[in-house]
Amino acid sequence: MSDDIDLKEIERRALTSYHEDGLLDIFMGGFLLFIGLSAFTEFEHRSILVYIVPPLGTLLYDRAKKLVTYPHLGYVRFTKEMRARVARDAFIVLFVAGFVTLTGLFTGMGVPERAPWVILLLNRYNLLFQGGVLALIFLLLSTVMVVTRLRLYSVISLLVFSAGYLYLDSPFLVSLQNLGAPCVIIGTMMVGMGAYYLQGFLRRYPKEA
Amino acid sequence: MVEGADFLYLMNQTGLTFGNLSSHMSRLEEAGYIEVEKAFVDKRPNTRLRLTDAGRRAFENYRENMRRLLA
Repeated sequence: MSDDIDLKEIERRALTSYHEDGLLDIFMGGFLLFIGLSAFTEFEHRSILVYIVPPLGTLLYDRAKKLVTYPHLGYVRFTKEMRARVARDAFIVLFVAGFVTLTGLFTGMGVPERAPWVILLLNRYNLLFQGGVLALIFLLLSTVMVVTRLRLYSVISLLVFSAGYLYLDSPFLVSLQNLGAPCVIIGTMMVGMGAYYLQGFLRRYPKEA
Repeated sequence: MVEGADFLYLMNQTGLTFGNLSSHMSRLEEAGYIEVEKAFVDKRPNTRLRLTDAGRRAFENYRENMRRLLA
């Protein structure tokens, strides 16, 4: 008998094995790429796309799971409580992060009586602020979804946005172009990493004839 | 946390062949440790297995006994 086999540990492994396919990385990275690339375009209705792409991406992610993960890995049914808990926690994380970001951005733009620390945070350190929010999202999602490698993306986000702050021409201005470059870099990294995980997953779990 | 898993998932995780796992599962089902549910997913037959409360207790007992034996 190998060491100490614990049912809870086996169940935890069942949960984590579902993210070995790299699809999460590909879809999240794809979304960041979309944000990054759209920042460089002149398409005037791009803000509408921000509301369309996430639900569409979620549907596609679900479809991809059914087409790729289940036929190769098999199917594990989690309890209703477990599924509800993960969905609720992920929603809270994204809602809070979105709320903080949007509130921050709106507070920072065009309000004359804003506090000095808000001015500093949003005008001078806006890239660091955005990097921090993204890093926090990855960190919290890694805990909620039990996917440890999301912590790596958290660190990468901080590093890339900090590099943007140091090297971009005008990092002090709140502009979409400034947000675009780091998002493209992180998104590309995530999609690449996801593709690497996916090919490993397909090799490890060949589809039954 | 986990309600059940299908045959393919257990084959992948245990590394057992279809026949081998099938024979283990039959015995566990006879003992009342697991429940077997046959269904169709996308028009393909799918066998799902669920650990019963008795199975969970038996596994915990086995684990406890082994731990005492090895201590």
